[in-house]
Amino acid sequence: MSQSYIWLHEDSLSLDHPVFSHASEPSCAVFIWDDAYFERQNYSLKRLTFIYECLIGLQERVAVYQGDTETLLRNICVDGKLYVADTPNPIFLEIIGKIAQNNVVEIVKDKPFINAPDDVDMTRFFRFWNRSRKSAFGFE
Amino acid sequence: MTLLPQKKTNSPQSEPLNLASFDDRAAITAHIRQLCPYLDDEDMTISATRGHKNMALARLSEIDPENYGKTRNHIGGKVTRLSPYIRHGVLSLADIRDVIMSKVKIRDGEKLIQQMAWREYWQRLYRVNPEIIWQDAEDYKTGFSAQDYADDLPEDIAKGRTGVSCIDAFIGELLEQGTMHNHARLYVAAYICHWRRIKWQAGARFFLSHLLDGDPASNNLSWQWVASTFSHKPYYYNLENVQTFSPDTLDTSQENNAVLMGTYEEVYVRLFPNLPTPE
Repeated sequence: MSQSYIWLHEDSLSLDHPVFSHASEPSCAVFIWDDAYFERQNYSLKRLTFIYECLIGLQERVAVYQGDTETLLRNICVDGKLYVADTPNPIFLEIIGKIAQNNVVEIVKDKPFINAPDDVDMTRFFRFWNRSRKSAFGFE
Repeated sequence: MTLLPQKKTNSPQSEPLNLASFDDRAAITAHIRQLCPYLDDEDMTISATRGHKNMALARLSEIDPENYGKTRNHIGGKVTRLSPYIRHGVLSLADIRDVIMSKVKIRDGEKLIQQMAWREYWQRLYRVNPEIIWQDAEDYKTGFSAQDYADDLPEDIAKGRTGVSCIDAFIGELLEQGTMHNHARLYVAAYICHWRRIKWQAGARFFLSHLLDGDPASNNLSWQWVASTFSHKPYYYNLENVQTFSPDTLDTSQENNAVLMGTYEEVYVRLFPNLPTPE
């Protein structure tokens, strides 16, 4: 069985994320400490410390590498499938798109909180809320 | 002679980092400085709020949805302080919802769950239209155009030395702890956009740099809501409103917050002189 890989990024710092149960075994989970990305985000020491401390709690299952995210992910999953925790971050989505040109990549969503209808009006919050309220309470 | 196939390596090219011990914050910050040389020497503060699932679970066990609903708009109210953990996916909204529903009746949990839905709403907008994170979603409705607003954040705001006492206190908490109550965020954002006439993007960037829960969608679209580029009208307030929602420990005296003084009508006319006078 070929190896599979899991990329945890800053939007999904949890071992309870469904990406872990979804990935086929054996799998290797990584977080990339990409200082160029953090600099681009202009993250202060406070923010980085918070992220670092979250990573300490993930060490039993997640290896942390430093470097350029796209380069390292390419090196890591040379011949395996990459599972990624879902994210709306366009920088991450662009990286995922590039990796997907050469590798099989699967994006795994987090546990659903709201199941809104496809045609829900997103122009203002309360139009969204009125259509999705029941599911937010777990009734749908 | 048969050549053996080269052994494939499943390990990355470089070695994984050895992270510092959770109990040694000096070692943690020293390691971060080594990993992120871009950090300014003056950027030295770290928050009392710590990252780690255990910290998140401790806060989750303390949530009080009923009192949240009654006091959440008050600075010092019974807010959950879970937002940094939600932001980074340490806790999922679904898990928090399940805890809320196990603790209280629907009507007592509604306000908190509705606030969580705001995050979901911002995230969905971000996904569908990532451009609006940094671009004006709509025109300003302040009587001014985008060109009338300054591009950069002045140093007195960045350092929390505006001379407006309550604003400086709110910014001070942001700089020292990476936290700010939601109502205080609205006060500071409106002060920056409307009192100082600075583009919301400059303020949003400032918040994202420091807020532990700084999320491009929730943060920036909330800024746009205050600025009026993602709402029907600008958000503004007066000193009386700050006094109503602030604890006694915050300096909301008239002498130290003079620019915020006035009735709503007076403040409106001052901030938005090009708009028709409200009836």
